[in-house]
Amino acid sequence: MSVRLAFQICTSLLVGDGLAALALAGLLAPSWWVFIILVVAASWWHEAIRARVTAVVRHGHLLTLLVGGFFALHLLYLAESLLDGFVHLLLFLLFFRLYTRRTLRDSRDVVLLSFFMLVAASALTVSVGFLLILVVFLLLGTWTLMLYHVMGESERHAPDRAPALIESRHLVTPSLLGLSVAASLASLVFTLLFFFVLPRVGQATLPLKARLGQMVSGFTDRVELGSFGTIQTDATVVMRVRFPDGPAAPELLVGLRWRGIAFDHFSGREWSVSRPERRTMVRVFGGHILLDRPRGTGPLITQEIYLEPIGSEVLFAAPRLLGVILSAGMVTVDALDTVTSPVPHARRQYRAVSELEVPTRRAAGVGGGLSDEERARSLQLPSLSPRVHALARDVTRGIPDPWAAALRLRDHLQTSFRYSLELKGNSAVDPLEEFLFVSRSGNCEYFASSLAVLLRSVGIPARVVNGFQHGEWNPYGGYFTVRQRDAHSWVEAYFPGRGWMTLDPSPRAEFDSSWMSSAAFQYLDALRMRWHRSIVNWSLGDQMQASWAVRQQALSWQRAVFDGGLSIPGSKRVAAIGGALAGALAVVVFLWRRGGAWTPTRFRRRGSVLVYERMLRRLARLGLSPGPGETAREFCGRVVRRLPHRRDAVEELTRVYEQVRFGRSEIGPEEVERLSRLADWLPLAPEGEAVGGRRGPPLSRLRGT
Amino acid sequence: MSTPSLELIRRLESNVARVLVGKPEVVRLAVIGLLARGHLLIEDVPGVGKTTLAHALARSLGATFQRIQFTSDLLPSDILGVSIYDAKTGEFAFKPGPLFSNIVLADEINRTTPKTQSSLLEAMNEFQVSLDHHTYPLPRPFMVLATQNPLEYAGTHPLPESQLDRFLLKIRIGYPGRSGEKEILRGAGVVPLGQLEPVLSADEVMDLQAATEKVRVEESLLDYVMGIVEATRRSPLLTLGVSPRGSLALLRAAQAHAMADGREYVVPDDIKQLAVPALAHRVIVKARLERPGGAEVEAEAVIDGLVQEVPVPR
Repeated sequence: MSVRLAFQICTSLLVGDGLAALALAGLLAPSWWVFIILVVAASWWHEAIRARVTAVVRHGHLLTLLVGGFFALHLLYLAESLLDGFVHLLLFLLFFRLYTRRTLRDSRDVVLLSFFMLVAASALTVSVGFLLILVVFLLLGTWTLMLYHVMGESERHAPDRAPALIESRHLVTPSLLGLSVAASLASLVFTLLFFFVLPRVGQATLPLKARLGQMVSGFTDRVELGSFGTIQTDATVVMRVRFPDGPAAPELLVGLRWRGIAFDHFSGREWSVSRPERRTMVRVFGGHILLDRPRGTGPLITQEIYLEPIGSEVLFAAPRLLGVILSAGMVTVDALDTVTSPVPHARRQYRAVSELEVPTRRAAGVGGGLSDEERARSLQLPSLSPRVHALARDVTRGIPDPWAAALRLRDHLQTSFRYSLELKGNSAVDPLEEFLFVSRSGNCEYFASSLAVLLRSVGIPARVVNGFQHGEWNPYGGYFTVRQRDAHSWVEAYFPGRGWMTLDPSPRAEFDSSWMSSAAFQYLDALRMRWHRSIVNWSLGDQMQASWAVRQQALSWQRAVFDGGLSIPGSKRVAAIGGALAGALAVVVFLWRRGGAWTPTRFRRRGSVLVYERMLRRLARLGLSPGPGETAREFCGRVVRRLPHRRDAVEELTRVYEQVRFGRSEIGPEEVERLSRLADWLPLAPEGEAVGGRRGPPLSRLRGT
Repeated sequence: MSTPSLELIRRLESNVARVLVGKPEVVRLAVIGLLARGHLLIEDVPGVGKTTLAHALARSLGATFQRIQFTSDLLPSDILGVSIYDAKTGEFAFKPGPLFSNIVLADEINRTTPKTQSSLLEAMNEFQVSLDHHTYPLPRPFMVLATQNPLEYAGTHPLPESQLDRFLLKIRIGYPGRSGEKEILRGAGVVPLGQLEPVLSADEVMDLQAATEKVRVEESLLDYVMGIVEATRRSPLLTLGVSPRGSLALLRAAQAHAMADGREYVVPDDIKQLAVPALAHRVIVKARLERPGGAEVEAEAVIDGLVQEVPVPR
């Protein structure tokens, strides 16, 4: 098989592949299949067809303009959607290119158009069949590119021998085919590797970054008072939280925070978990892992959380967490509702459903009570200075309701103490006592510890919770960016009839208002988030959503164009339609001109050169090819010596070729026809052994035509 | 191109060929030099018709002609002219030398001193003579036909490269063919030089020169010229490659060749055929390749070899 034939076959198969993709996506009506297949198949003989139908070729540009205009009109008014219109325009361009291609570049356009068909189809199909089509395209595309390269380079570097090389049957060997298939498969494997694996494995599996061992120091499974001073100034992003199902303005939600780990045992200096045992919760229906039941006391909110590796197994979510969906399929929960999942070193994405707390609402039968053991653990206190107990009693004096008493204690801390990151250590007294009675300033852990201790002093079960503040709202991406400096501690206290409720005693809001990211950073971060969402975590659901959005958008554009067109009065409307048509035609004309075969002048000019090339191809079969430094005339002389009977034909073809090629002369289609016949009458075998005894007619007869 | 132009060229060629028998290709090269506004260096052994060719060309044009026999004692003022004190007017008056003619035959140019040779430089390049703070334009058309003998080197001053570069073409005449020489011996049909009539006026020559400049050169042919020129610059056989002046000369000569061939456009053959006469005298062959007296022959062989290698535009 010659290179040219192999290239033609591959191009046709690629077109078939593109059409199959369109059919799969439902962009081609079945009734059209036969017609389109016939038109595409007939283009195999496009040269023969073009040579026979000279009249059509002569008026081809007019005809094409008309058809192009029709498709532009079709795009705007007749097609079901803009996408359908584009597909039809694409098909038209494909047909046009299939039947007018002359050069290698034209064939490359056909390949590109096939690729566009695949792209158009990819917007609407999630069928697994598309994968097959894509793989076929990749295999054929690699093969086509190799052949294209071989042909292009031959023409560029050995123009004299190119026709012979392209027609040579020795180039397309099984080993070249094998090499192409191997190259395609290798690129397929690498593509899959890069696309599916790299973004998904998480950083921990790659030994590329030395900083992987670094943990977010703002968050630990212990709270040790007085040991952190600068944690919150670290702006590294820990997680991003978006709300796929609403609400409409999540940034306005009050008191939103991301609960992580809870502690119930206080040693006087540090908080820890008294019972580390955990229960394993596995996935139930729909991939959810159910953790708690909704109480109907607050709105349900779904969060999509992208958690960076922070060296902790804890999963964060807004309190109260009802369920999660994550790839691991199971989580563990301890007695304090801390949810953990292994793989602490990988970037994780999960969904969490929470029921937000509404402090004013009470629900009967909620929090039916704590067991004695739970209650004891939630009221545990180390030996403390009597001043602490006295303070708690003083603040809550005269308030019998535990809820009101708790709020009173919280308000006392919020208003009478100062939030500060500069912790002044005085080892003489207990850190808590120093905070409450000496420095009266500290970070959130002091506030949280103090409130928990004070609550416990007055008999209200309480625990300290570590997690993150809600973070910064990114208006470009519609999500919260949570950073290490947002690490926070607060308190959960138990109230009969309410259950565990969040109480945040630290006056941090004013302090945090100084943190603001620049718009540029937010925009870049939104892009990063989009990358995670659209590329790394591209799911079937996302595909369906995107496909639906494309359709809707196309429909709405069409509607807008149509309605807009109707509402504009007469003359303006004509002008608008005319303008749109002119624009569409300009695009079509541009595409044709690029191919170089469109304008009559260029067509005529190229005609003779093509005929000369055809002559070279025929002569190449006789073993007559011009050398690299051989001019057309020198070659002509050599050919004439070998084929003296063909002197007139070869000399005339060479002369006209020179005139057209170097002299910018123009010849008409009839002349091209005549020269073509002249070239075709050149022998395919040396004189005297002409194929089938077929010899050319006298030149005079040809000249008369 | 217009038929009258081609007719004029044919008339000129056939007129010169009446004197220089059996050498149409040499006559063609001389005409090309004229059309391309170039100067010719005719080099060959004595007696093959160098002077005859120059003389015939000059006489065929209705233009002024001067022959300068270059000798070792020739001074620049002998060819450029001198300023002489005029006692009547009390001023210096310029007396133009023999260079102030349309066609100048510099016979045996390598016999004179480099000083006198270089006095030709400005005239050949800029068609003017600067003397005593005055610039005197030379008549148009202006063409220098120089001859030199490649064999007798005693007492000669070989032309420096800078001067060689100013000649558009270097032509070799060669011995006539057997039949041609017999015809010369027979004397029949060979017109004596003195009887040659002018067939072209100076204005017609200028028109033909202007038309030559308009001969179309397709873009790829410029690449072809560049390919040849760059090959000479890269060639390991050459010490000095062709200068930009050389590539321009090749292109002009190719245009003139196309014109003389009756075409309004250049084809690769024009360039290829003129590569040797237009470039060989501009390159220096590496010393180890040189044979005594054979450097020129080597240069032609090298250029010819290079041209065969450079891909021709299709």
